Amino acid sequence: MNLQRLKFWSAILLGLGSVLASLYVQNMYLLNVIILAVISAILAVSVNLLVGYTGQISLGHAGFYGIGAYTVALLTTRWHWSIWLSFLAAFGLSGLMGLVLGLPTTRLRGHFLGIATLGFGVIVNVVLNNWTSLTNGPVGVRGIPAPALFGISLEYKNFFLGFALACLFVIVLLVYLVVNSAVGRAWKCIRRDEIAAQVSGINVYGYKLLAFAFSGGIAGIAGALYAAFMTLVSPETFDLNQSITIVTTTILGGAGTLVGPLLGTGILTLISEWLRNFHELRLVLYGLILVLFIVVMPQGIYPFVKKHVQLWFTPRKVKIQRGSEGRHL
Amino acid sequence: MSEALIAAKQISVRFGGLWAIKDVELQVNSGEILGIIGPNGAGKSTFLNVLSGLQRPSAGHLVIGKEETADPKAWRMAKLGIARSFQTIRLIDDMSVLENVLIGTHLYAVKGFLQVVGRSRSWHQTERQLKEGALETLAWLGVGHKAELPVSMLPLQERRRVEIARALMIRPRVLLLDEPCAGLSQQESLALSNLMSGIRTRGVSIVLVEHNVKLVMALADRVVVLDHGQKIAEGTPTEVAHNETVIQAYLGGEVHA
Repeated sequence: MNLQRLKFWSAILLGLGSVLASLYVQNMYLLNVIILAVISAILAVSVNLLVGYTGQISLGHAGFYGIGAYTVALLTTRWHWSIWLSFLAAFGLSGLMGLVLGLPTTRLRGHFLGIATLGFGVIVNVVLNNWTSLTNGPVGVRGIPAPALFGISLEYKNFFLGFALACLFVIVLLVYLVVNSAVGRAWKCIRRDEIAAQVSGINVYGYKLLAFAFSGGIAGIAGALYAAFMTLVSPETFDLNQSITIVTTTILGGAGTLVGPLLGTGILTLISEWLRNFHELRLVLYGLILVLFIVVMPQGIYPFVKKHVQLWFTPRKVKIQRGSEGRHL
Repeated sequence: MSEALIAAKQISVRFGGLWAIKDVELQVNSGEILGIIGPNGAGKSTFLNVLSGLQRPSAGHLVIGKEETADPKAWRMAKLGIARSFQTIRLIDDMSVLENVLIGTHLYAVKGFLQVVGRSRSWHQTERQLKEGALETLAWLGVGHKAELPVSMLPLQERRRVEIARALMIRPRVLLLDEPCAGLSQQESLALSNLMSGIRTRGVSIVLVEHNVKLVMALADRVVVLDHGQKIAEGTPTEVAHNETVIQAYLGGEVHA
């Protein structure tokens, strides 16, 4: 118990520390990369709710991401909403879309759910591209104002990074609190055995919908941050590739864990930035590295590392005992 | 006369051209152990699935307390106080025993968003109480010392007990047990049947589907015999044991006695 509390508070400290540290990053290139990585991390955390905790695949997460981004873009430029209200609207609308997508699709499983969510992502992309009167088509929307917090403009990238990190940590904290409650227990049970969940009084359909809505809403916040950071949005950001990257990041880092998506984002960002040195070979190497990771650690990086660290610290005697207990089966 | 907790009215289930269950009438009374026996393929498990809301009946309906339903949903049935175990145990192997049992407390947990996120006092209190209750039940079922182990490390009979513990956590009025003694040794079966009596003493009715006829006869207050999806006999164990149709169904042929 105490260990858990220690972990919890050190995570909070780490969060605060990194927000403060973000003020000291001087390099513009680095700032850009980190801010985009933080946004990707929010996306990974969001999809982790579905893929990791509830066991529902989503191959259309770029759809929610795009809806969030365009909500902010259009509300601020066209209807001159305040940026914070538009953030709230992005969360609400993407969450609502999650619910709407969930209504027909939560009855589907496995591959079928994959295809249906993939279809959702494609549809959103097509709409963004073709509903020119609203979305401005492939050109996108420009001139999104930078948000200001307590009179400080977040145009200054260090401040924006601090803000984005704060968002990420609040979201991770929310997810932690929800996942470690009866709601999270219900999700985890649905992931492994829906029938067991049903006979335990869990409304499986309702809890899947909740996961879709919550996950969609969080992805919408990522989109809102993206729009506010880039000050322009266009449909090509929110395509199938993006959806797949989000899922890959989560699975690579360790789906169903709190740290996994964060670790996955960090490592993938590092790799893809480092691979810029290789020009044309970049994507080939990227693919190779991904395959390597999945083959060596199919459960994800975080569970793999955790297991090995634990083994390292487990006394030999206990290991042998556990081994023999396992063999009883 | 004790009150009826569940009444099945003219329940039929059809799979394609086959009637797995045809017009079965049945009543579960409070505080009793009702045994359901029958040869393989008699429709026992299907009937249990209907009672627990996992199988929608093709015809007929259920009356649970004051509620009447023709299309029962499993989680609603759990809410109405009907819990069950499975022949092939449905626990989550890589979770700990305690975590598995806590899943059964879902109905009583605090789930309001603000309370969960704010970790309100009532949230803490409820979670602690539910956990204590789960540990108590596990201890009562004789697996308390294994609460922290992953389920996959437990032998079959203990996993059965864990599944029963999870079912008890929904505070059921009726517990449906599907072949609880399948794969257990005679000794383990005996221990489990003692446990079932214990559960009944706690005021939970039990519907017991079991292959081991001897065990059912010893334990049940009433026995229902299914064959080819139809109820062919009902009564006390002694009555049923001497029923000619039953003997015929089991032995397949005429009785000369």
